[in-house]
Amino acid sequence: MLLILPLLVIISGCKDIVFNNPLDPDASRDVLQIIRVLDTPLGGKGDIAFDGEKFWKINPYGNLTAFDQESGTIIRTFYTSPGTGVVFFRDEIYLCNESGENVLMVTDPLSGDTNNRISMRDLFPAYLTSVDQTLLIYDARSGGLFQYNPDSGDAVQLFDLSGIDIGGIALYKGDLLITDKNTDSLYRYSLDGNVQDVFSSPAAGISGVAVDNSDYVYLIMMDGKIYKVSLP
Amino acid sequence: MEKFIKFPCPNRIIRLACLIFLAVLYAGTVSPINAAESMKIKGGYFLFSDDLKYLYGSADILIKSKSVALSGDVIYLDVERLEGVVYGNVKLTLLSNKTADGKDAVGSGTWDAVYFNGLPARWLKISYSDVLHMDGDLTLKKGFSEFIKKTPEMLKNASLYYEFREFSINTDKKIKAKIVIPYMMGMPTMPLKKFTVNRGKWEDKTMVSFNNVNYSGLDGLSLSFFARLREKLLHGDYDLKLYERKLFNLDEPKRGFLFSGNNSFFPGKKNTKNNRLLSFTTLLNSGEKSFNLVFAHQLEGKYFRYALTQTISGRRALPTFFEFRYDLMLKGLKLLEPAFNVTHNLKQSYSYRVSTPLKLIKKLNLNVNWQRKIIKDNFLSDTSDFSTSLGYNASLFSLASNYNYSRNLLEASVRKNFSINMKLKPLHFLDRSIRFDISSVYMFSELPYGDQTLTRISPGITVALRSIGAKLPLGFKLVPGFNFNHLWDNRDESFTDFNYTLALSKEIGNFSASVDYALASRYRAENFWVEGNNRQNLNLNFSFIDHHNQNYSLLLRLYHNNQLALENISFTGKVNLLKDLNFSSFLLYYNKENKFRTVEVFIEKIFKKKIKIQGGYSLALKRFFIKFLTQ
Repeated sequence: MLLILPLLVIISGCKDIVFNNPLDPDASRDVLQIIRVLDTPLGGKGDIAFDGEKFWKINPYGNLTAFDQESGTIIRTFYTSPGTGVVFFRDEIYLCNESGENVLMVTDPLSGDTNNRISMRDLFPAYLTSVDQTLLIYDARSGGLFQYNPDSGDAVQLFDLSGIDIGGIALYKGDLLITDKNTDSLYRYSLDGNVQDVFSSPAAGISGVAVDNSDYVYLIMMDGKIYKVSLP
Repeated sequence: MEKFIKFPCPNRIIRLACLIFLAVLYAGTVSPINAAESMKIKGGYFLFSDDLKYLYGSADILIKSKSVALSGDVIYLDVERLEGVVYGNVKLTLLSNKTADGKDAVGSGTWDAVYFNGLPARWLKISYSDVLHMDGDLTLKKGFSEFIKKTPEMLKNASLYYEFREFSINTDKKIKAKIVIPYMMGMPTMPLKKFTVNRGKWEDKTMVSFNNVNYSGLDGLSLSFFARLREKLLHGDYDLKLYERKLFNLDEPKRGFLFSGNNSFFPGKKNTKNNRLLSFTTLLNSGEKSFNLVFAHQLEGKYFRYALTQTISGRRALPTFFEFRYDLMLKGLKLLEPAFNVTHNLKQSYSYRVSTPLKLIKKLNLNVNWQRKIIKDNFLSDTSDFSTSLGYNASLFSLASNYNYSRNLLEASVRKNFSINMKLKPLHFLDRSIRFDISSVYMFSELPYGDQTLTRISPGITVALRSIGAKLPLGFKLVPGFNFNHLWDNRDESFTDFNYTLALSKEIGNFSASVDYALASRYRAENFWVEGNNRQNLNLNFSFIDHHNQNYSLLLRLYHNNQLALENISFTGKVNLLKDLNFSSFLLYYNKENKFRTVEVFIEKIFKKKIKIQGGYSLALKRFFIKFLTQ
């Protein structure tokens, strides 16, 4: 009852902005808002990715799991290669592992079969996301971010990210969102390497990040909780 | 007189070298010959399962091993676990006074059942009267009660099984049988004079197997094979995939192959995870026209461990990449265990790393690392990273801390961050039905922000309450949850989060319904005022799950948004329609747009426990796949 009573009080006054400056009602600032909190059994290391309809989570044990973005319900799980980075790109799932292989795995999201293994030569991809028809890859060997063209194999260095304990990366409105596991932070970088903003994680143990079609940001924690948030 | 130095004859040196080499080879490869103990079993009729893992026998069963002779009516034998049960007036005769492990034998006699495990076997003798009486090795009670008995009908249900009248089995689970009749699709085929299954060494055989044939709208038609090489000087596992896309008007490459493999030269018993004389992995991709080769050698001694790795990687029209890596770890030191790592690309790029755990205080898990990376390939990079981590686990709390210092020597920029997190051990109340978790954190970070430096200092505290819930009248259950998180921030970004959850559920047999309510609030101090926002959502969940036989699992969820209006509907279902035909689907309906966002349907059918057919369709991807694979 101790919990229910304050809950009812808050529900009764529930609207987007609950308290405001009465002298200047428009003074409220745009901040990171928590939209929804989902509980999933998908704890541990590994990034998440959005495929346009559902989310995917990879883990270092090789489990690639699809789950529903609204409830966190597990839709299906494939056993693939161990991985930390995941992205949905050209209708396929691209996976990489921070343990130090210069290979990208390409998996069919329907059957779970390995469609391709791409040799990355001097890049050792640990995390990745996509922009247009290229991949943005965090290279564990150099600690830098690269723009990689999978058709030609060409890679262009964008900027240095050493010193950040990366948990996941995602593209957000033309910028890059990067989670830092060491300081439980979410960095927003422009593609030329400038920090645009820094947000504190809504909970301890931040891991992966993904963005849906409506530009909501999903942050997965090490305990499997997912925070759906909106950025200012 | 001419002085000369007398060198030993070259032939002798070669001979000596050969002898030393042979001696080393002999010592490394020869192991004591293990005289495998065996058990001979005769009977009127034995059935052997298609997977060669289970055996049933009946009529005048006679078992003879080195120490014991046994007779009975029926035997169930799990070959994989080397355990079995003999039923029906089982007569046990002792041939030796000692059991396998040297203990005194429990004696001869007649029993209703005898359970045995291992070889040489341990025995548990059971008699059924008014009271169940057991004798022998009573530690086997659990094994006996959990032993699965497969009936002849179950074994005959497979597309393949074997019949014979006598066989022997040894400690390696190797089975030798005489006059064996294989039954295919229930029909007897050509009898085999001899039949040997090296069951225990099955994984150590050279073999090639067909994996699957797959068609998908994206990848075209593909065939996959698996090969395992287990020869004296070379072990390897290989995957080969052949694909055809041109026939289906798909994008380049039109057709090709993908080959990957792991090889290990000179495998032996000393070839362990940290001891490999020479191993290499291969990746060949005809589509990308690329390859990857990684050669590795590693050795572990009493005071050190080292590994040498050479990576060679190439792709058409691009320069080949070489990198050599050397790892060395020293062991046996009292306070530290230093590890050194050097990489070099045989040109101008190199890196070196020094790391060690510091064992100053045993409970303090302290690690220190320093790394310098200089890359002068297609791009330039020069960084120096220093990091420490600390972990401490006490009876009342646990502590974790990290410090990173990274200097980019080309851009002359520095990134620093530090965090310390202390968690109190969970507090439990009301007979562990309520649990409190309290943790505090202090974080500091400094990173380049344009021409300036962005510094953040943010201490915080988190309190979480979890409950197993309370039972309400009429069988309802209420589960509340609460989470509080406050973070101070030197950049005027301090905030307080509250997350409430409330779940009301009711179960009736396999059907259950629940209402989940969640409210997330964030407040922040703004001058003299507090501003904040709330977001709420409500889910209605209905599930119908066959917990016992797992023949169906249906889950319907209705999601309501912040205004508690219906937003989405999702359905997840799995049904075992007929025998070995499974159907599963996932649907997501957007109420506002009045359309299905996702429809995914999958079917799976297993034929005769040997061939599996899988198929699926996704409306969003507008693609389907069909796959045939061997079990």
